[in-house]
Amino acid sequence: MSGITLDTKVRRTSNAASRDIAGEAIILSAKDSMLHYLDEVGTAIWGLLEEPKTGEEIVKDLLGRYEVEQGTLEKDVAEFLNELAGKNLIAPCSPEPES
Amino acid sequence: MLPLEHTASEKDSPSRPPGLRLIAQAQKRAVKNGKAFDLTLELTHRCNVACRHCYIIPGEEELPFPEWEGILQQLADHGVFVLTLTGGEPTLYSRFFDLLDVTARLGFAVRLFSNLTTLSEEDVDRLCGANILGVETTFHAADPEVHDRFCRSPGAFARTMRALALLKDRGLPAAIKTAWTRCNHEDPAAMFRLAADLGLPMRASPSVSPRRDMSTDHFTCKLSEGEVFELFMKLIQLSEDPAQYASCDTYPLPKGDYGFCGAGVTGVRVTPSGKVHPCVEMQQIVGDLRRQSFEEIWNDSPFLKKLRTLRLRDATECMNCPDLRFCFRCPGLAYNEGAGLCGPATEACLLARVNRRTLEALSESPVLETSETSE
Repeated sequence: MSGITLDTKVRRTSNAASRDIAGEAIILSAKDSMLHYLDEVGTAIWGLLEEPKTGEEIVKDLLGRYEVEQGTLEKDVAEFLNELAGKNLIAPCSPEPES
Repeated sequence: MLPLEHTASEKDSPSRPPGLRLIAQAQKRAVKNGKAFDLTLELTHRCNVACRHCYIIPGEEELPFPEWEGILQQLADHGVFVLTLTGGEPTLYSRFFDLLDVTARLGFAVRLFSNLTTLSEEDVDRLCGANILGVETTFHAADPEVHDRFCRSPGAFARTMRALALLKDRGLPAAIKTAWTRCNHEDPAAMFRLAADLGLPMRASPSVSPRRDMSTDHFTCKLSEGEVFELFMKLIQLSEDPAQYASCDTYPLPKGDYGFCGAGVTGVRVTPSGKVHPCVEMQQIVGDLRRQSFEEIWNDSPFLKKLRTLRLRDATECMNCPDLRFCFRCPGLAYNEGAGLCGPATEACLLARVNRRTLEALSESPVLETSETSE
């Protein structure tokens, strides 16, 4: 885990080339030349991250698009953001809140 | 419900180009939606070496940088993802690295085809930020002297090796290519040793294309049909799994409604002055980016529209050829030779015959007796 929580504001790193191909994103991580392919929901989240956002903002947006229970969505989004951070595709854009 | 598995990832491996599966997946999706996915941009036709088999004729006017900036923005807006930057030697383009900054900003993945001889350490550092999908360079022989003689550039081999070491040091994915010619076919093992020593994948082909004006005086370095057959037999002996090797060079007929190739379907080629062609081979001009938008060319070119409707069954002469299963078919080469998009191409026919002879020699019996030949 990369320690990103729903209140962490995150941004795309500059080390990624990406394109939305008919609703599914393909991403090249320049750092390791790894290709990643996102499904529809992953692509929606990646699209939202064109501007820095918190997980909470992402959840709020997705709740308007998908029929899903909020708690499940929050868990999914947090996991996904950490996955993206683990692949160096996004990073926190502000210091982590102190616990 | 949201699927939990949002991503698939793929890294290059020694045996295949980087991310081939995911690229193919995205490419297929783009084609289904009528979008171009990968384009070849010939930034310049100038080159600092003079390889004996080269088909490029230098002299075409080059687009100034601001015009490329505008074109790249159009390509990004359209949804193109992969750009292959080539030449000539693309790094000779006057503002090559400024152009790379633009492609990175616009989110393109870049393949670079270069002899690498011009690159300094600083240049390689700049490549690191350029979303490089892969760098491919050509060796003509494993022996530096033979290589330098073939490309008529003393010291070229050493300069390319130096740049490859820098690329490796920075973790940039590279691959090497070779054309099997009269200067390297007698000892193909040496080329494989070179690739193995470098730890890089290699792809090789005996094809040498006519020059862009269809002249063929450079065919003096091209292998004859008999020499290609001897080469293929040597390659099989070098292979750990001859059957697998042989099957890699055949082209079994796909089932169903099958199009020709990626020409004008997955992308197009753009020349230094902005002329658009369906592919690297095909000489038909389908548009001019100095006078037309990319969308206009991609959507409205009658030639591209026709190309996209063609199916393998339309190539009637080829469909009746017993060597079809062994043929890579190239509508571009056929078209350039005047055989039309659906006709046979000399080079494809030659390689199909050799593939067949090779497989027959391998199996010691006629291959076609036991194989399907049509849908």
